[in-house]
Amino acid sequence: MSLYTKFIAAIIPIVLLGTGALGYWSFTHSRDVLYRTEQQSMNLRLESAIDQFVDRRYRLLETTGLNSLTSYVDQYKSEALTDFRTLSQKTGRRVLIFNRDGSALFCGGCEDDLFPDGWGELVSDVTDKLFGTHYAAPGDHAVFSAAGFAKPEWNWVVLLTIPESVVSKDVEDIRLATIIVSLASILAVAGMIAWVSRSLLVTPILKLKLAADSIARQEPISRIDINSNDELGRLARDMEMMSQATHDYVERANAANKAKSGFLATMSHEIRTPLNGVLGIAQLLEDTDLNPDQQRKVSNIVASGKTLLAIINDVLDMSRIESGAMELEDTVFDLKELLSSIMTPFQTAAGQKGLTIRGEYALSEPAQMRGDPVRLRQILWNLLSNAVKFTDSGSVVLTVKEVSADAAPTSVPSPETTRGIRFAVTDTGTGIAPDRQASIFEAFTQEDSSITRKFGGTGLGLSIVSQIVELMGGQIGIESELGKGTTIDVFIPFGTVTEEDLALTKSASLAASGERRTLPVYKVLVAEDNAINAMVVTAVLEKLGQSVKHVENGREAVDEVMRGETDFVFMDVHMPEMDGIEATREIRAAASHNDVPIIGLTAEAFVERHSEFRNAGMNDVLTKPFTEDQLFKVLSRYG
Amino acid sequence: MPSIRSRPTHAFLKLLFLGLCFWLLPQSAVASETPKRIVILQTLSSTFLEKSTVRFRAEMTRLGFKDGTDVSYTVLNAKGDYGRAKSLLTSAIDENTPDLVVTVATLATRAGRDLLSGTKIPQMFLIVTDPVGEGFVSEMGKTSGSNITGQSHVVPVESQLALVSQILQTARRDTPFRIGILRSTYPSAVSESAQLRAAAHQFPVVSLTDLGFPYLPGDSGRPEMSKSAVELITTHKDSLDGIWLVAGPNQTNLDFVNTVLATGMPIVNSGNIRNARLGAMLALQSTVELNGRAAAEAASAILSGTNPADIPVTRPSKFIAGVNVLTAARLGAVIPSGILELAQENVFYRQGRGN
Repeated sequence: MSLYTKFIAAIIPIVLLGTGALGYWSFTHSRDVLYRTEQQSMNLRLESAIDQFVDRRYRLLETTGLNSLTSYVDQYKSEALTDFRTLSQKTGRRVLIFNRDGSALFCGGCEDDLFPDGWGELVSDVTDKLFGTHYAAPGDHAVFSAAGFAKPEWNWVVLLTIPESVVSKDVEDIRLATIIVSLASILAVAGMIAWVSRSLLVTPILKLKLAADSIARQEPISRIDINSNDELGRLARDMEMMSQATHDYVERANAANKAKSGFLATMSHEIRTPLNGVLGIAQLLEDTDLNPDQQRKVSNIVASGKTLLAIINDVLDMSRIESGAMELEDTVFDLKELLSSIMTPFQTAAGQKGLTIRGEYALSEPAQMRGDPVRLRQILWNLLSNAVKFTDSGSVVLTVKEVSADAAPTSVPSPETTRGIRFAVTDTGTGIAPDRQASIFEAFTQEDSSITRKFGGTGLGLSIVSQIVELMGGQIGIESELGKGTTIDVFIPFGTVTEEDLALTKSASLAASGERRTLPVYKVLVAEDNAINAMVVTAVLEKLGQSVKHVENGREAVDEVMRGETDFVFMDVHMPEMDGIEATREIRAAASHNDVPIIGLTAEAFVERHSEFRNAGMNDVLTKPFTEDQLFKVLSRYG
Repeated sequence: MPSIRSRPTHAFLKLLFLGLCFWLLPQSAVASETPKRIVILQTLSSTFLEKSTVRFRAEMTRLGFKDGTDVSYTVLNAKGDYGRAKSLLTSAIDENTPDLVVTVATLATRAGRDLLSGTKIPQMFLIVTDPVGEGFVSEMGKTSGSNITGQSHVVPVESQLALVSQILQTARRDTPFRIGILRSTYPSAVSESAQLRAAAHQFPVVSLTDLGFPYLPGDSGRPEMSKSAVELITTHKDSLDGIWLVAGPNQTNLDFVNTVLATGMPIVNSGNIRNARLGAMLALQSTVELNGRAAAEAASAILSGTNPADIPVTRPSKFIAGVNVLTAARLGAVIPSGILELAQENVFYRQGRGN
């Protein structure tokens, strides 16, 4: 409901109440005035009539001394009655005259001159004057004015009456007029209030609202069209200044955010590059002949490196989520394959802790669907990792089942093109106290600080999971009992796939199945300025049976490719003299040898940048530190 | 130096003298004008007529026409004789042409009209019962178109009949009251009788009968006229409930009225308040004051230059009434309150001879 509607809805009862009260007062006042006026009118008429018709004649009789003559008294009474009859005819009022003893004498205006019943009882009450309403008989309810004339020879009580219905009709007319005037007043007042409020309040407020919306969208406003020099006008000027201040602040914030992103990208690159060397060399060491102690120490190096890498990834993911920079892929993937591949590493970890881990899947065909498999893997990896980490005995179960649109916890926009999948990771671990469950998905939160000390971790995992699930349009929930275990429930809607998608996926999966088939021996060019990383990638490629040549910058890489003796290029992005992007563009722009597969190597974890590399002509991008398996897959795919 | 001081004093005195001369000049001219000559021709010697003449002259004085200075009066009395009236007026005109001839009552007015018609001598009449019937004017309230104008003193017959009917209605008789109009052949009497009978059909409570007898002018004719009246009443006694006295000399003749009352026949109406005191049930008349004032105002206008042909013939707008309660009671009636209020000081309770 708009402000204007609310205002009108609020003002109408006020107007109705006010006008109604005014109308009621006006009606009652008018009614009272009407009765009072009728009373005065009847009193005056009766007073005048008695003076003119009765008292004047009696004075004449007294003055002339004829009051002793019965014939004159009777004649003058007769004349008076005639005058009263005329008065009744002219005024439409009924005239009732009684002798003081209560006997009826005359009725002017009565039907067939029949004297009405029920009025004689008033005679004794009339000493001088009397006014009121009297219910004489059914159908004879009248307003009356009464007066007495008391002389020895002439002792009358005269009543002037008018049916109460006549006065009531006037009251009804007043009531009707009051209602009509009140309704007209309501319309007029409401209209005026609406017009005034719209002109003075609502329209400026709507303009302020539009301005506020623009400010909320961080759109600059130059001027709000309110020129009045009142509170709203001053508010408009304040909002204009606020808009300018907000604009400046956003500008500064964007600059700061850009600087932060640049810093993170740099840090990511600068950390990942040596880490790539550390992990690469350590993995190479693992393949050498080492005694058990050396083997354990190298394994620790690898594990520590991977932990460090995971922390770096979490921090980067969190940064991307906070800045709204995280984007989801929309590719076709095989959920069963993904589940299988993700469960395998945890079999080993769970076995080492004496835990049983299993997957229970209830999925319909096809297993392929559209979504972001990388982020799904990240979600499940985090959940399973936590489950194994916080379970000392018992089991960890990953339950995956397909749910219908009706059973989906969130509204599914297009049920026919959406498949809702529910993932539940249940463990028999330590559980989470009820008062902590609500905050478990907040960043940097663990069940308590002792957990960090005992199990390690940044506390970002579940927060990242929660926000990725939300980004996917899904929902996450938790059921846990301290000491008994925890179930984290995730619902994610994925897209359905077409027949064409399935055909493409089949051929791609065959190529990427990476059955460690024997690769052809390619002439692989590694363009890498970092000697350690060059050594690592060279060693891994040679391990995969490839013939590797190393150059240290993009210029040398281009020259080498142009010689036409290169089958495959692994191109570092950041290199002196000519970076990998520029070198790729030159190769792709060349007249010959421009179709050689180029795989970018970068320590930048921001996948948003990867599209820039692909746009330059790279076939694919590997993020450092990469694994032997990743190298094998790209060789298999693009070779 | 002394001569210089005396000059303003002399000049002031000269101016004062000149101013007095200019002020006195018109006063002297007015004083030196010849008084307007008014000839008053009365029909006969009657208290009512004579009082009306006196009142006329008094009202003229009040209007600024001082007797002997601004106007001079020549009063003539025709003694009820048309020929005498004509003769007296002819002599007066021959002696000196009057500025205005005032004729009092019908007979003198008729003689004046016959004599002055065709002349430029203005004539103004008063105390004329029926100016329309006499042919002085075509309709009351209109102008004559000639050198004659004046006022009637008589209450319209319709009004008289209406008031009499109101009183007699109170008797609640099934049959109308039979009333004889006792009149001489005097012009105003004949005229009023005729008017009454013509209007009577509008008032069913009364039935009028004309009882006429010859008019005999002069004091010598009065007893004979009384005798004729008594004879008529006696003759019609059984067919009459009352007598209506109309305008004319007999109405103001005390002996005549007493004679009629002596017959025992009630007088229902008479145009003279004194008669109500004597026994007439109702009397409506104009007063000498009202008649005199109206006549003086018309005469003043004529002497100031207004043509009589432009002055309408009117009757006074106010009348006085008198009632006799006893006579009404004899007729079985009471005086209605409205008429009793109209009579005011002239409510009489007894019946009897007056003098």
